[in-house]
Amino acid sequence: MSSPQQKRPKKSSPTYFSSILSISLILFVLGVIGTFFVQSSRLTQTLKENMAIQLVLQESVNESDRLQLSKQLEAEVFVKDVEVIDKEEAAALMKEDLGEDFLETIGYNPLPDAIVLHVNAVYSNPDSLAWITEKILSNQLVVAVNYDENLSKNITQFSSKVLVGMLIFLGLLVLISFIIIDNTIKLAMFSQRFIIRSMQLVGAKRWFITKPFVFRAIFNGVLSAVIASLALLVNMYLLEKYLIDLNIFSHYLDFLMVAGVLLLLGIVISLLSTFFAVRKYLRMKLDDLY
Amino acid sequence: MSEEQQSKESKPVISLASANIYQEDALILNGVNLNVNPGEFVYLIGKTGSGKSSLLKTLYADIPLTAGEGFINEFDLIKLKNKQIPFLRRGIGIVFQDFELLMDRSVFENLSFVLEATGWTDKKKIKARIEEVLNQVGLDTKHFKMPHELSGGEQQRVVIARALLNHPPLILADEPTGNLDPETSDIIMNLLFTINQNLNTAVLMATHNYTLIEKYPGRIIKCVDGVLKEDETMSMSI
Repeated sequence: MSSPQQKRPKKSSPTYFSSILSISLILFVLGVIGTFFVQSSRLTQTLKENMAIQLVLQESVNESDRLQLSKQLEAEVFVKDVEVIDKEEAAALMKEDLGEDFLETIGYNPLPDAIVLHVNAVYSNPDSLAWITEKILSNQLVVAVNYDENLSKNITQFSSKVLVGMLIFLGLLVLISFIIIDNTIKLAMFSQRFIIRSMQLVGAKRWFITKPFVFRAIFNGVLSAVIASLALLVNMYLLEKYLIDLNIFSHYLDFLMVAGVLLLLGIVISLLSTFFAVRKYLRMKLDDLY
Repeated sequence: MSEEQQSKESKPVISLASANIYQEDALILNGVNLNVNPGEFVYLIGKTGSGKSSLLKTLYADIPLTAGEGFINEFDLIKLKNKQIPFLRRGIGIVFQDFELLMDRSVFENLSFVLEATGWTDKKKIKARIEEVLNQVGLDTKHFKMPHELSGGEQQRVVIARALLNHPPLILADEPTGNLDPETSDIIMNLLFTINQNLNTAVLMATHNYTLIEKYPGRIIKCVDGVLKEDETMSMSI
């Protein structure tokens, strides 16, 4: 029974291969940009959370008051961490900064007790800091609240510009990816158009015809996303190892987030494109198929 | 035989009255009246472009019927909704000139696709039915061949086997021998004729192969000058 003709390449596999390949590549590029986006937002977050806010306390404040105040502050939602610096510590810090013992020159320690706190990134902007200052000042123990208003303003402006820019860029990229993947899939489905028609002619219902294509599309989407994520991981590893220390792997959740988004995009785009392509050929007349 | 069955038997499987057949937007057959009864063998003849194919396409709802009356096995072609089209087609075995096989899968898978699409779930029954129809067309050893590994005549026999799967009361054949040599054509015709005789399946076959008509006599209907005519003379001469 076996003839040399028995070797039969399945006609549909090469088209699926090329569409999986191109979806993977596009998702990979999206993943690179996405990782870049996540990293830069982490950078601005760090900048924002590093901004120190200094609370100057009344001379009369004793140790237990200070502790109580710091506990109170720690309980606030906007506070990231609180650090108590009494006048001796402050003097020691200043001595280090100035490089000379000013206490001897002046003869006493003029520095007040202080609390330094850092706020969470979302509160680290001029508007929020204004009401936070007011709120802290309402406490009798606090004389003044100091922070670099200009720095806060600059960081906020910079980060929001970066954020908006990146979002537009990302949105555009997703759109472009959608169009390219859609075209790739349409091309792959184009080769199936006569099969779809034959299926219709023998009395198969629309969903019965569409179903296997849809399942295949979901599988292709998942496979593409997995390939893209692995490629991204390898590239990040090589970058980390040979070029720059980004400390990317300490934030493995970031990577999982990017991979998750790629998975979602891969499935959704592949599924929608396939579904609409099949539906298009289901509606077409024979003469339009040629 | 019960009375109900008898009345069903005598009802025509195709019934067209004053039907207008269009190809795209052009009226190609005007005021078609046609009745085909169960078990009849009917030839549809006429030149290329005379509307034979369009008429058949209208019968299996690839072209909508918009004017006149038309019934196929209880389905009203005028009132037919898109969702009903698959069900209409399940009652018709269609044999195409260009086969319309699913080229990406084997003979067996081509046939099992049809059965699964029409609601068969029992794998054993599916296998048994496929073996039965392949036997009927004499292809019982070719289950696992791909369509492109078969000759034209063998492919057409697979198509006929596919048409038989759901015991349709009607087979529509659009130039089934159009792409085949005379010897192979004879085998295909013989097969259709035997099916018609043994299974009491009505056959409406478009063709312009007059030698076949002489050898396998049947009722002849002619598409000419935009109308459908019963060709008594030719039927008589045979």
